[in-house]
Amino acid sequence: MRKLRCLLRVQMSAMVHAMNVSSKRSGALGGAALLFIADLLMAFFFAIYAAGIGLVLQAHGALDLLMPLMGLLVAASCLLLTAMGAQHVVFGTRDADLLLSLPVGSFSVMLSKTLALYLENLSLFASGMVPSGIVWMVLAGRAGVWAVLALAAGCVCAAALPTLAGVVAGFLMAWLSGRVRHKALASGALSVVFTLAILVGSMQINRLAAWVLTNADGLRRVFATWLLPFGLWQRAMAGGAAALAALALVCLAPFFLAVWLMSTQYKRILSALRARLVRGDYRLARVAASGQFAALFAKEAGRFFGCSVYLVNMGLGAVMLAAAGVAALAFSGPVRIACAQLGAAASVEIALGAMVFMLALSNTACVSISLEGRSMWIVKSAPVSARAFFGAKLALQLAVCWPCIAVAGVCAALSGALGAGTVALLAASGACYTLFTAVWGLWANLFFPRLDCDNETIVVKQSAASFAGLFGGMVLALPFAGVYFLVARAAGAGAPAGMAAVCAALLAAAWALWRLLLGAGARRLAKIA
Amino acid sequence: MLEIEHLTKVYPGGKRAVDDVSFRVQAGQIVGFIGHNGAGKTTTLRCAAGILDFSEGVITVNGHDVRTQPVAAKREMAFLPDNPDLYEFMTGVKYLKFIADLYGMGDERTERIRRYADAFGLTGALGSPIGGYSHGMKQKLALISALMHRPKLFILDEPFVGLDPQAAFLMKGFLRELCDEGGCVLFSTHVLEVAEKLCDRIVIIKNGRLVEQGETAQVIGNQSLEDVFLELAAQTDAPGPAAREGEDDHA
Repeated sequence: MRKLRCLLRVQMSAMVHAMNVSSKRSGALGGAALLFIADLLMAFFFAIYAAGIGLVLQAHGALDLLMPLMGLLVAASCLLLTAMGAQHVVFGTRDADLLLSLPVGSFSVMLSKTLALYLENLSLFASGMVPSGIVWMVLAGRAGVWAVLALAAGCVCAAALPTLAGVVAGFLMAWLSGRVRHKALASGALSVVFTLAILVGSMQINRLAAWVLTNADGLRRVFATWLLPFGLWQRAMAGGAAALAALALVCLAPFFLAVWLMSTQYKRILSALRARLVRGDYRLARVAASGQFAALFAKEAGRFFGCSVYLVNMGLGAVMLAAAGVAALAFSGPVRIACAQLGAAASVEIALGAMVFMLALSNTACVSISLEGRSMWIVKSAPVSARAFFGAKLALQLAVCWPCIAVAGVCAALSGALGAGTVALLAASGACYTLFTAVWGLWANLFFPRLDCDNETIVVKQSAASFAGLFGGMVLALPFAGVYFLVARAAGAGAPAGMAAVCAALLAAAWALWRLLLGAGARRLAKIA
Repeated sequence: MLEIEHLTKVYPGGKRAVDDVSFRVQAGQIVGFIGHNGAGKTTTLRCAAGILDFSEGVITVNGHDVRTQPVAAKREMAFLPDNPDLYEFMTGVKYLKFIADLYGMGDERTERIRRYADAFGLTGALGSPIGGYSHGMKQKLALISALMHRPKLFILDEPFVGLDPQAAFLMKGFLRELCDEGGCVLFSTHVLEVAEKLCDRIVIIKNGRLVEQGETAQVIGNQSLEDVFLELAAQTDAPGPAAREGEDDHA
């Protein structure tokens, strides 16, 4: 048990270490504060979502479905995060030599890594389900000590489910991607497919919430059979001690059983995953020359497309935007009607908000310096200027986002919901915003660099730079929203003028940040080693 | 070629890793940089390579200040760390192409890659991802990437770690060849026999301060380098760098 505790502490500190905003003690506190803020934000969103659904369900006498539905939503979110985490944290092979050479059993190693993911999921479950539970208690009038206890115990048990499913999915992704020729591409493609499946599944929850109004009994049956744990949680909250015990059994027993089963094959699995063939039959042909910037950009692109966790986490927003454009074209009839009902100005504002949100989720620049990791010496010892170094990283983000903006723009224009000129201005606003967030992302990473992480998952998913880049991009959109409203609404110049003003403001801000980056940023980069 | 003047590096927290170190590496010379673990060798080499910022002093490479003209200075040199972490998502040949592009090499790249890769027996593996390479293969690849652009100054940190005897022998030959063509080499090592045989000059650092430097024959006299090193290591109070430099007419 002591060994397991030690291993768990190592895994947790590796994950928390990436959140530290500096090497000092205050840096760790800053990292904890960032995590706390992120959890609070998540709790806020879930509280609003739960209250909205809860009120609808209560009005139709189906409040008992609130907890299972919210539990399913949180579990889906956890599964998305855990599968990619498991692929690198549990089945990553970087620290395998060290851990497997220690006098500890495979079960302890496997369990410590899985528990680290479980604790991460537990934090997400608490952020999502505590507000949902409170909403349920208030609406159902069932607040009490037992309900609070059942809520807490339910979080502890239910968090094991997405962890288990994520570990299995992560193993399958790692195993399958190791068996094809273009491993990185296959891994990326699998991750994208998996993520899209989860997203589509999550969207079905909204449909289920609507469906419940006409078929509550059908849903109850689902939560009594296929999705039994979520149904048990609801019953436990309502006062069922036996349901709580059953919940613990159906969640924790399979979790430990699966971890034990996998641990019996853990060494074999890791050996299979790390087996990489180095061929000896390469024949050297002419090595073509290209420019320095092209080489740096190709390296950035190679890393982006070669690392599934980077590709999915930092590229999904842009893909979602392109998909939204395609959906607008596919459902152009209803979209045109909705726009006509809303009015041109409101339609533009909603489209702007949605686009900014999706683009804010695509910030490759904010982790690009940290991802240099221990190979940072290569670029730092080469004759590469700060302009070329930063420029290549910035160019990657533009190369990821701008084509998606163009696809979305063309599709939106073809759908006929908004005029071509308005769509062009919308796309220009998106392009300028991407430029701004790219420069902002580089600054975020310069402030919170982590070159010593063992795997990319920790940098992409859990580093302070990642949080600052993504959330900071969203927060920094607010002043530009202010510019839009000042010009379009207060001055009465209309939406096109508002978007033009936003473009100008974004370009000016991006230019100022870029100039600063080449001066103070380059000096800061020189100190990172 | 390389001039280090009064180099001082203070890490956050106040630790002086390198304290007022000055020495030169001239064209045609192989200089061995010796010191115990934690003496400040790697810090000094990384500062000289422009990877690590430093607190005080001036470092110039062929007249270019590493701090104020980093790109020009780095164009003249190559650096090889003790544990070369390379881009594992690239194949060997793509990595070499990448480095050749960074240094603006022309069509001569192919022949140089072929020459060094054939010599180190790595050509057949160049099409495979670096992630599958052994430590020694990575070391050889990094070595090829450094040698192929013919640096005027080659800085190596513990270059013999991980190399098989044949590759180490080849590397020594290539280092000597580089110097014969007017380049120079500065490398750190714990293998004192190699330093004694290969180096024209020896620089010894202890606790961040330079304690001895000069022509190899002059430094070791009629002892072995190991004896000199152990003797210096045993001294509790190292003489000030200024005093030692005053004794050495090359410093």
